[in-house]
Amino acid sequence: MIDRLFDKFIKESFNNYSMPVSEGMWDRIQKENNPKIEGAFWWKNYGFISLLGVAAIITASIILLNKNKETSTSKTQETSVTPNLNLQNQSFNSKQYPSIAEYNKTVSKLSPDNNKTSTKSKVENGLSSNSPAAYNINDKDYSAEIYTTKKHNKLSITSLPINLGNSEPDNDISKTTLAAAEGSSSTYKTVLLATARQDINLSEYTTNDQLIKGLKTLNFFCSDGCPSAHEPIKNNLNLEIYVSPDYTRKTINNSAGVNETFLKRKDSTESKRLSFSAGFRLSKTFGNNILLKTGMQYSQINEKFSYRTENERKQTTLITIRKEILATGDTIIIRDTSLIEQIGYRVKTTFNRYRSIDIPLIASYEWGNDNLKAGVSAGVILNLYSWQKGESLDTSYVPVAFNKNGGRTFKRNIGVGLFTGFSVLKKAGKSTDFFAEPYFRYNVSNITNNRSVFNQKFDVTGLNFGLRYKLNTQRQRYFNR
Amino acid sequence: MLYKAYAGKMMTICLRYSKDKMEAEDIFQEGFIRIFQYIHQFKFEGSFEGWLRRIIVNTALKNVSKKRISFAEVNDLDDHSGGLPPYAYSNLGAEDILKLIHQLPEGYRIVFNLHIIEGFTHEEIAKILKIQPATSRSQLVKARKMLQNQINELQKIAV
Repeated sequence: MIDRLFDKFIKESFNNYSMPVSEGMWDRIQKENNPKIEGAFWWKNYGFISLLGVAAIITASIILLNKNKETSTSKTQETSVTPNLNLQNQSFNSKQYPSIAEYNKTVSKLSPDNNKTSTKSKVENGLSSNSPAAYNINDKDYSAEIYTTKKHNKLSITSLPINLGNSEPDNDISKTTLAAAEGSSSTYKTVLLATARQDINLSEYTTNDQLIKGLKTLNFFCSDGCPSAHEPIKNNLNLEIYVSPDYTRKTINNSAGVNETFLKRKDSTESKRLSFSAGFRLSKTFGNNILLKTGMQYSQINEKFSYRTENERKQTTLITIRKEILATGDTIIIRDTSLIEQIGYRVKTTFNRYRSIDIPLIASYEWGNDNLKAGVSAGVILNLYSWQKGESLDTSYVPVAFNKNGGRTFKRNIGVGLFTGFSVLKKAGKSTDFFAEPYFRYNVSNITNNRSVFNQKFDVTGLNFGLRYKLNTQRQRYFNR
Repeated sequence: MLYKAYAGKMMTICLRYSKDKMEAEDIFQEGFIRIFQYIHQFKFEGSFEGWLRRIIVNTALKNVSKKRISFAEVNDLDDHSGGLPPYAYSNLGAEDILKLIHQLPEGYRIVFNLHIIEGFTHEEIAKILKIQPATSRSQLVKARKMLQNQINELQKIAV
């Protein structure tokens, strides 16, 4: 009966009871009913766009890699023929490489004796077997070993015919001189040697080492990191692993008619704590200086929420029990109940975490030498997913929790951020560089959603410390001593 | 205007089902968006306020189901009150009761609201919340008792 009365009382209490609704609520409902197009259409599909970006970069890399392979294969064929040809054909033009048939024709014309025939067959053997072949221009002085294997087949000598092509057809030693020397084997050799010296402009190199150096100097057409005489071509694919302490700048502004006092109060309850980010990036070199990077990174912004409530009252009920013996001899138990009230303040502290997983798409320009490099970077950071955990003040100045599942204030995807940075790289090992990269990340959109009564945004300044591993350090080798 | 006429009452419902004001505002906002979305479906049969109420309650329940609340038993209820005499709560206002309802554990609060205020039977509550009718019953008894205890305490302090 008592319960029924109680239930009835509760029900009736709420029958016509109205609670005040916050000022900006109607605006928010209207906003939600008539959503405006914000920015460009693609702004909304962050996840899809991120994946599209990564797919585009991977496809472009594969196409470029394949293209490089094709170029190197075609250049090998040119390379294997031209050095010897130029020794004998003064009018050779770098852009009109003669075929092997033409070459044979020339050789048979110029060298009737056995000596020259053997040189020709050496070249032919070298071409057919694709094995390292020694083309002795001169037995003593010009012994350059040239790899023409299928594996090691790129352009080291590519520039050679072009350089040779620069030689004037009307040199001191011309076709006529060569023709005149045809009669004697020794004279022919001397003439041939002199022709070679003039043609490839290596007259000052008299030993193998010097010749190799000379050949090295001819490599002015390599575009993707030039090889040295004894070292492979520079790598073009790197893996960067980094971690950064971050400093954040928070911006809060009014979204739906809440008063400024609330924003100030909210802001005063939250203070910055050291944040961090970590991740990895794959970078591909284009040309000598440009790198495109992409990967994945995790960022965490830390904040301390500290809320102090004044005039907190704590009441303690104290019951004192004592016995008293009356004059009549009766013993009575007396219970005194007293209430103690303490007035003070209460501080509630929570550590808020704003986490995100992002895909960086960055272009860098680097310069310097192998030991020390500097670079500038710019790009975008596409957010894949964001989640938050912690507490903040609500419009009625009460701390409320927000978390991955229940939080409705924050977005699950915070969109695009703009990235810019400056990096310094120091060689730390054969295939490792250490780098430091101060950077700034500007987030274009808010981390709060449309329903929130305020807009909140973070911009991040950080310093990436990391290691760059050269992934394909042994790419190619052209010369062998 | 529809919003002005019913906003206060609907907010009260939202507050009864939520644990704080922010959550209540979320339910309220979502509820009113749905109201405007489906207003053309109202067939002018029965009370309009009842229709609004139903949408708001459904939105609140949808929000509850997302949270996967546990209908745990709270064992610290001292059974010394034995119900409250009517004079004990006659001077309590709706706002005071709302505060006390907020202090109830989530499972208690939902069942209490659905049964006492909305008038659902335990079988209906069991279907809505996907629990056993017996659980609903026990949650209600305990919610009621806890609420009565709280009112009792309040009375003591007032005295």
